Amino acid sequence: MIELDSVTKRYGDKTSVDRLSLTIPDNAITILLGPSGCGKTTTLKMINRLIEPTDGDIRIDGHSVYGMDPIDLRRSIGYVIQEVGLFPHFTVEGNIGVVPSLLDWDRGRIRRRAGELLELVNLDPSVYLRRYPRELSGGERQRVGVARALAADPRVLLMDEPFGAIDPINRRSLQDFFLRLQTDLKRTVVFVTHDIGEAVKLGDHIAIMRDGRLVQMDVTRALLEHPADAFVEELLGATRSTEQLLLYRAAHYVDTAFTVMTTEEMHRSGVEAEAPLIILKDGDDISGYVEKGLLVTCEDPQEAVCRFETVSGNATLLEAVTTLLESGRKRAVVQGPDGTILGTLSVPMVAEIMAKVAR
Amino acid sequence: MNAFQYLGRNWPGVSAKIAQHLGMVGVAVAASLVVGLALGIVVSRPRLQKVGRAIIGITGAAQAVPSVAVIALMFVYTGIGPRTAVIALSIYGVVPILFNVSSALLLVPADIREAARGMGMTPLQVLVRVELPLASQSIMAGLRTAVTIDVSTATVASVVGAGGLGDIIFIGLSVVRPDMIMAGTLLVASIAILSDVLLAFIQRSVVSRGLSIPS
Repeated sequence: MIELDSVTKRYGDKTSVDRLSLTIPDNAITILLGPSGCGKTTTLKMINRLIEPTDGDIRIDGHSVYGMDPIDLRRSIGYVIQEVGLFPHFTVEGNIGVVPSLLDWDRGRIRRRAGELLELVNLDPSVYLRRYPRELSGGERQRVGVARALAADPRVLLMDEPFGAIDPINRRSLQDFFLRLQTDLKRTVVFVTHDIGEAVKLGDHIAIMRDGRLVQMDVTRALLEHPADAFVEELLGATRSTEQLLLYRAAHYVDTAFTVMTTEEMHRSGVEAEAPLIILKDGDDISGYVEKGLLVTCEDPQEAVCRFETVSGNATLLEAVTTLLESGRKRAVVQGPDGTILGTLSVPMVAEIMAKVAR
Repeated sequence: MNAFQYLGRNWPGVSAKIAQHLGMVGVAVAASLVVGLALGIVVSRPRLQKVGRAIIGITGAAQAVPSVAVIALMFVYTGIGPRTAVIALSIYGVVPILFNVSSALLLVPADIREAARGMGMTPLQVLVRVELPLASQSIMAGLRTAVTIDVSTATVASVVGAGGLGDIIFIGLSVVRPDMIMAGTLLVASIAILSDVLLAFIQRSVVSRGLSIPS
């Protein structure tokens, strides 16, 4: 747990962060969100003491960071910034090995760790270990950046707009990748962004800042449903429906009325299988779904099977709707990170959700 | 007699002059490198960056001062002998090194430096592991300029009685021996070229390959 206790940072007359008190829970992603100049990056940099506050205290697990050696503190915290943060004169291995080498790990151990981490971020070590950052794409660099931050196995990760310089399509896949990673790693992540869609997608908790102060902090969904004031509401983009679609994760709004069966089971039970919605799953493969009532009208049950799209539970409703509209399919099957079926989504369902939210 | 016959017949004397020449240049370049690196590092520190920018301006302009003028000027203070030549060459060689070191270090992106700091490097580690390697290409270029200039300027050191290959050329001039002038000139030019080739070779192993990849 990271506690910010009345933290203030002044530059001359200008107050960048103003008596900010905030508790960042363990093993979850907490987003610092706000317009540029709101003090979110300053706040992040005060946690690893890149910036010293004018007043106030920051504690990690009860220990004030001002009682620690700043060098040791920084080595114990993962730090990811935009892609420029990789050192161009080091190979990927050298970059991942920065903190371990500062901690005097031996070469063999650093190399093994770099290989492990590359595998973790889905880059083949035999290809990537010896490459230089300039030989990588933007997305690959960012994966290496994440791997580097994880090198010495820190419990806390500070991320400063890490995906900011990436094009939207790659950014979306990096976000999905990072969420999958976090599902396993469960680090305490403090993530700065000004992108509301990113905040909603990644954040377990969101802290909204304005003019150096905390406006509202809550669990993401609660914050979306109960914005504290007009500023938050506006920031969340309540004025435009497409922006709104960005705010909701598919997992939270799925239709959970479905039963799963294998194709064989469906054929066997035929019309008897009058469950609400049948999703056909043979082993790990989802082969299709059957709408309620369709089986009655078909002689061959196979004719009733509809094709579908798959959407990650972490996807926003906008992503889900876009996928459906682009493919022309009626329903999307929403899956959790481990492949479990969370439910289904259709365009009319999303329209209904939006109508409800718009009040 | 042509230049090669001259060299063949007078090799023991000539080789002594080569040694003198290389000695002067070697000591001067080493001194320039130490002073240029140290000053360049100091003036590129964040608190001194204003000084740093001024230094870049001054050293940029100072490179236009003819090297002979520096030797002549030094002669006024330290008299004749190799000492004068070495001091003059050192001062002159500092200029391109200091210029390149300070401008390259000031060009290291602030975010890279902050990333290094944020990962827990001490200021010295940031300098040694990040800033100097990133500036290495430019530092090597400055060193090569200094060596080339010093090798040719050391010829003039003969005028202040410092010896070196300049002796062969200047004696050749006064007794009108084209073979001696040619021999001296050939040697100076070869040393300049060979030392630059050697430094280019060193540069390849000092500068990370990652920096020469177009971004």
